[in-house]
Amino acid sequence: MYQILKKTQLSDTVFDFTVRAPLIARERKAGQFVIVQADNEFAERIPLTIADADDEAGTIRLIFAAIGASTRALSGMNEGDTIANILGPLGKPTHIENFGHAVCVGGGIGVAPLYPIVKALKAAGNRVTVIIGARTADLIILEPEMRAAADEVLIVTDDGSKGGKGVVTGPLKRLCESDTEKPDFVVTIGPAVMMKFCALTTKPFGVPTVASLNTIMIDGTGMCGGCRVSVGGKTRFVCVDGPEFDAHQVDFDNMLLRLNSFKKEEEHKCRIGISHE
Amino acid sequence: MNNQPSSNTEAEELYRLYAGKELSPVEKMKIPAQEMPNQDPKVRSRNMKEVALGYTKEQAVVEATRCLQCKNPPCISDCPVHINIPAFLAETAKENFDEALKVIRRDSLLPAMCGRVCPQESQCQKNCTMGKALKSIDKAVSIGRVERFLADNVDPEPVQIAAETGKKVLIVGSGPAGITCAADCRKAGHRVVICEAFNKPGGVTVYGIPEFRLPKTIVDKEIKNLQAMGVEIRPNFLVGKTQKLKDLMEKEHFDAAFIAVGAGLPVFTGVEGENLIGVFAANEYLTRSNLMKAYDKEHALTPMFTSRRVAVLGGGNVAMDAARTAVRMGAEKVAVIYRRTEAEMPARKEEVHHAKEEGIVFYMLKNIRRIIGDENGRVRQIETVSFELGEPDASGRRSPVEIPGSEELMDFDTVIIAIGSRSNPLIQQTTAEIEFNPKGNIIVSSEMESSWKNVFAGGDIVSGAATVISAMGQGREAAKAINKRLSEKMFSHTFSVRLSELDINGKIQPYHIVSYFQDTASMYLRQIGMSGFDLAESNRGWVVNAMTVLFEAPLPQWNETVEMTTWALNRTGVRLFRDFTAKDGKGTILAKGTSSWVVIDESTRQPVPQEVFGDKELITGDPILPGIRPGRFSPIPEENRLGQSSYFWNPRTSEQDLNRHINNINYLISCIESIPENFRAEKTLKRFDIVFKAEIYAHQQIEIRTILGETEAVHTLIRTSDGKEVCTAKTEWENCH
Repeated sequence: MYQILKKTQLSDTVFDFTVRAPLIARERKAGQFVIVQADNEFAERIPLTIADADDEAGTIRLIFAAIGASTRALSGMNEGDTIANILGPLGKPTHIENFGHAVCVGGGIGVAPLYPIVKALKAAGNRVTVIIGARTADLIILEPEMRAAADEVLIVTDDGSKGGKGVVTGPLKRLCESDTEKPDFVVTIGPAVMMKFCALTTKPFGVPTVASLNTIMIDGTGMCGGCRVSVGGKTRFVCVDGPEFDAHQVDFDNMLLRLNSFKKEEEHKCRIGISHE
Repeated sequence: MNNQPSSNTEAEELYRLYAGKELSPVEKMKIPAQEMPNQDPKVRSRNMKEVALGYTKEQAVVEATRCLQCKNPPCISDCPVHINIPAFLAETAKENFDEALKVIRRDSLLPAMCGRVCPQESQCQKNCTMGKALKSIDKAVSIGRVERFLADNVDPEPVQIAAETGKKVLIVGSGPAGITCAADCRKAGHRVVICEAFNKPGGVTVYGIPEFRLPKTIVDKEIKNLQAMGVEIRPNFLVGKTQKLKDLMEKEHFDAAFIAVGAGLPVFTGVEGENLIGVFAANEYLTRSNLMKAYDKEHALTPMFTSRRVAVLGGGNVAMDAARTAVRMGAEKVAVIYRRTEAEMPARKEEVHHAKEEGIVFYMLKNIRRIIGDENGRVRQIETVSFELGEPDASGRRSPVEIPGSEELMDFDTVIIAIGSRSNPLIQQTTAEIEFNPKGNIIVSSEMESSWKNVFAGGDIVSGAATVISAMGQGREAAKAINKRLSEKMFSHTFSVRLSELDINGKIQPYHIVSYFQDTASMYLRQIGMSGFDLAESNRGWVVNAMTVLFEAPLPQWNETVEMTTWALNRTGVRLFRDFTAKDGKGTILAKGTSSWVVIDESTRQPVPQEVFGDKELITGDPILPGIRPGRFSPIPEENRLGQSSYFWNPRTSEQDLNRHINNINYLISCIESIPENFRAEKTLKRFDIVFKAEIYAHQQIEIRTILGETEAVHTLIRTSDGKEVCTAKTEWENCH
């Protein structure tokens, strides 16, 4: 069913799969995700954002970091192999309109789901600035694609190995402070900490900001409640109410906490995986 | 016989005494009720295997013998699917096990599941005369256990499936309601497709109900039976997201749909601390363990939360399942917290009993006030508050009233919330055609039909969270309504040929195909009495593409007079439209529809410009285009245009007519250079299919073989000269006067 047609390794841990999934390719919109399960019995269900899709070819592109036992197992699959289950497209699509100046902030692997949003914002007539943040130059993904899609791409790395040294909030703040470049809309996808600080950065300037959340998820259809987050004091489900929420309303501290729910149990599995490699 | 527990000496003794004997009611009342053999609580609380082991043959026979065979059996009316319970018990008592199972399967195709998960004490066993006579519901005949014995030990006969109707039914959701409805619709001969969001079918029986209560092999068996009947199951298909319901129904031509997506959205309490680490909805906890097999820590990649002290909130079956799973996952203490008393607990009595045996503590008349976390955000304690019972509420249960100052703290590291679930919002968010009530449940008629015609719904998405068997009952009701609806003589056809599907290169003449459809369409119209409206006539000689005729109507009685009204042609660009309505003698509307087409000039291959038709012509009656009859393009010989209406309809159709029909197909095919592979004409009125399976070239010789079956069936087979099968057509009739 879901055959891997193309596999590329983008960095040490980041993989780029093109997978046959015609129905999903046809229906998906920017901001949506899928649930992937490598085999039918014991594999975990993991939410992955759709980095791109080709309706005519009937394929979707999945970019993910092999950091846990399940993503590592997935990264071990090769071209021609078949992923047992892919469910989607899930979640609500990004609300796209011509905001004016749209700034898209992506951190690490979060750059992948940002890509279709950048394209959609651009197509809607926005001036699009992309800020990419990574630990080091090797971990920057999709830079050429982003340069082709956006009006401007700013890069920062923690170690200064590429672009400016620092974190994404630096350029974001400078844009917010600028008279001419102040964003009309910000979307941020990446590690929860990064999204939290992006939200804190834009809030004083009153810039509408959405964050695409990546919480623990089982079914992805609103059934398990594992993905719940507190938004504006209300419990919301990332899978059916999100994945995008008003970043200024999201309780990122609680989200960070909940992301670690299974840390103890997972460490065990992760080590098992590593010892096999 | 398989899967039998070890022998039971007491039951064997009773069996020797009573089996096969004619007993008086007084004698029957003396037979002791048979207990279910179970795994020892100490052993089972450390494994996931099924708790109840099932009756031995002797036990099943003895228990069935206890049935008093009431004249007005309360058990039948108390069963949501009305199984003839006394009849199957009587057969069991006589050891006619095959016959007994047959009786059950007349009304329920899922006895192995129902025997295990039905709340018998509040349904079939509730008013059992034996229980009443012995003044204890525990002494009622154990109908469910006997049912389970039969399901586990007798191989069912294959289900009889009616002749294929050519109709298609879409089922959304493969839980108990969905699979029941699917089975019943399939039995009636309809094609059935089930869409399931998860990777495995079964719905709540797979993700929710644990292995120790309903082994997954049982569910698998039922699903395989369904597939063996010819039901197609599409996993990883979330209707509304993967494809919208409307798109799916239109693209794949479903005649009816049944929505049974359940009530999967967990309800949270909203108390402080609910988002701490260690607080789970029962759905998440159970899905991890059941569907994702997280209990199998060695193999599963999905983690299960490690708990020592677990508080489960709620008093239903889901709460029991979660608590008992927690025990099996190694928790030292598991407590069920419920705000009413045990008498009000909606859980099956047997589950509560089993839970207690497994060491689960029950804190009744208590509720959670807040959840307290440690410095790492993990659950450390809960604060509870106590209640006393007040006046009965709307549901008839006495509502709990809080006792002031009764707060107390208890140490727990895990809280599982099992206080119910609401309907999943996805269908509502994505299906504007259906009306929902404010709770998010689909509003249905007494026949389970939603506000969208031919779309039915049932199970928890309609009734709110309830039981497996009530969902099955609704699935069955809906199937009955769907089968009735689809057996009504409805027209619902789309004839549509897109020019883009046919490669015009001068040799291909798509109008032949279109014309053929036109003939068929006009024939259908005539069949419902629409004389004087002849699409084929009105367009003869023109290349017509993209013609669509859509209409829907019950078939009038053969001798009924039908009044036909049509409106003047409308035009949008080069496309022509005409609406029509057909009424019977009483003025009831039988059919409403629109036909639309584009007329193309054969020489230029361009749509005929609007100027060709003056306004005057457009508003006159048939034929709409008088005088424009370039006869050389007439695709079907004039003489073959006669008597079309008898091709498909009349069971007494003459052989001559059939040959004419075949000649038409033959001519049609011989005119076509090639037909793309994906081209497929399918019509299912009284069943007439043409499926082109291969490219056909004009120079190829086409052999037509006609098999005249009984006077009511015709098969046409068309081969190319090299023996390739290019076209099959099958025609069937019912007796229509």
